[in-house]
Amino acid sequence: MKAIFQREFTSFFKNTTGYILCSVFILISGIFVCSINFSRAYAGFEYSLYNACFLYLLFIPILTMRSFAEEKKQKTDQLLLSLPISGPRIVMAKYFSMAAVLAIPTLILALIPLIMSFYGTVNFVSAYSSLFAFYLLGCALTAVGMLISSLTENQIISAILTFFVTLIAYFMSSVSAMLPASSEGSVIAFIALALILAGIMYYFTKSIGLSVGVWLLAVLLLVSVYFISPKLLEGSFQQAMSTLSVFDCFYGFVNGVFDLKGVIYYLSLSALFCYYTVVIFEKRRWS
Amino acid sequence: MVEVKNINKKYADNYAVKDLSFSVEKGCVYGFLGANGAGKTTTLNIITGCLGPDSGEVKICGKDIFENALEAKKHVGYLPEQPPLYPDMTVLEYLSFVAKAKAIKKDAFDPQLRSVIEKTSLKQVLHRLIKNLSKGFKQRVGLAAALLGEPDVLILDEPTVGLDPAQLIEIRELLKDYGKNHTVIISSHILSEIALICDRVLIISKGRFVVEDTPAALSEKASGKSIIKLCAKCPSDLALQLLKAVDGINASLVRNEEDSAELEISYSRRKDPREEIFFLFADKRIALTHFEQKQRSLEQVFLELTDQQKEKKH
Repeated sequence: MKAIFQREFTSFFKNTTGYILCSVFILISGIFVCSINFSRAYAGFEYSLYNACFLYLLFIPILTMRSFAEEKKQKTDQLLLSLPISGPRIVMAKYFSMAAVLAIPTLILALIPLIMSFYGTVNFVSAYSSLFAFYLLGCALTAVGMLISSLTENQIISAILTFFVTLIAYFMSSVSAMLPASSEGSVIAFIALALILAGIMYYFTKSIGLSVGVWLLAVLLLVSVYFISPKLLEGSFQQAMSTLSVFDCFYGFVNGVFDLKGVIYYLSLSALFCYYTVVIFEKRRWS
Repeated sequence: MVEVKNINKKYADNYAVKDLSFSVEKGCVYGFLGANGAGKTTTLNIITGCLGPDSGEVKICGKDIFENALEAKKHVGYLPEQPPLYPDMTVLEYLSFVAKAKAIKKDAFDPQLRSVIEKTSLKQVLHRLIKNLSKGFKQRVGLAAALLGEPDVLILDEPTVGLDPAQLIEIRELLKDYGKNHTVIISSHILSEIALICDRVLIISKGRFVVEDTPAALSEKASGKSIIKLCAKCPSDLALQLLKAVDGINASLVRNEEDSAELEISYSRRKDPREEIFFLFADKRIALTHFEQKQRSLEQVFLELTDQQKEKKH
């Protein structure tokens, strides 16, 4: 596992990818810090991180696109499959290598509150807990990007899909707020969401029966709740989207709340998507 | 060393491998012969654990490749058809990576690396990026990686593709030498290579077992007949007349010269007529300028046996 981790980590810095990613990340974050904290003499480092979140839309796709797609294309996955290393260890080694690359700009950003403290009073607890959550957010998105990379042989497709998924995650709360909050609106929105999830299920299982069955079950459940207690559904879609939104979860930390549930949520998401990546990687053996 | 029992692998409605069983012992170089799409690569991928069969069992040194994968894979070195190389690494970096991934012990690390580098003549390209290597060198890097850890079972899919004649000879010798104390399984289209390197050959066709034996025994099995080629310094009709006296042979004229005749004699293996034929011509004081028993080439054996397999099916 250590060998794979070392190989993956150094590969980012063999060409310019790692250097450019980290440099651009630090540069743009630094611009936010200068604009929000230094020029306005505002000590809230969390708000710079809040604004820097969008960087993940670009950083994560580029970071994760090669992780499995390139192995498939180069046929080096055959080497990995023939080595005496289990599938989960291979996946975790790759994941940790990407998390380590993500840690580099994060550690550099960690110096900023210290620098700011020379010029005023900084709430270190809030600053570093936000930074920690910022890093965990990145790690969760990295796990998602890694899963997407395992689904395709083409790096570019992997990057584009990861970008779109991160974009949806970024805007899901604000877009859902534009939808009607009525119970009817919620039912329709949930049915549409269930349809999308059924489509994803069909892609993985190739079973129309199962996918349609699950969707119909969801529809039945929603319609039943609608008729039994419609008030339960009022605003429920928006609430669900806000609860599930990884970016909304981070905003809680920005507001000075160290939300343990948020930490568990990020760690759980990372674990879940790493697990699915292992399933996809192992499935290749049996397809 | 390697036991394969009743493996099946189906893609959609087609069997890539059907009910295949064989075993390979230590100290044997085993050739895997088959046409394109016969199921050779699928079989090798199943043996190395890269692909799962639909049913069946594979054991490497007594360990099931799927139930006890990590233990079984420690005994395997695999070179796939396309060497799995990372283009952004140098040769030395790649080999070091594979050595670490195979968990080669620290005290054996450097000696192992030196050994495989020497065996595959990679010293001159150690610090070159893999993407800048020629096909032949890439093949050698792949082979070197497969040899790391001195695996008990070495599995090579088309190992000689892209190698120049000098490299071919080197690799041939390397594999024969390695096969003395280990198990080597080679899959190839190049039948002459298989015949030169391998102790035993397994022929598969359309995923099914056809035959398995030594190259020499396969030559006999193919049609049960042997061929003698002879040139006699006498008219052809005299030579044919003389040969009529020998039972169990079938003589045919290949070429007729003014004072000599070239003939081909086929006979079943039950009785070797060479001595009788020799003395027949000697008694008549007819010189034999050429007298040779022709072994069927492995190509002929392969074509005959796979044709027989087709006939049995129909």
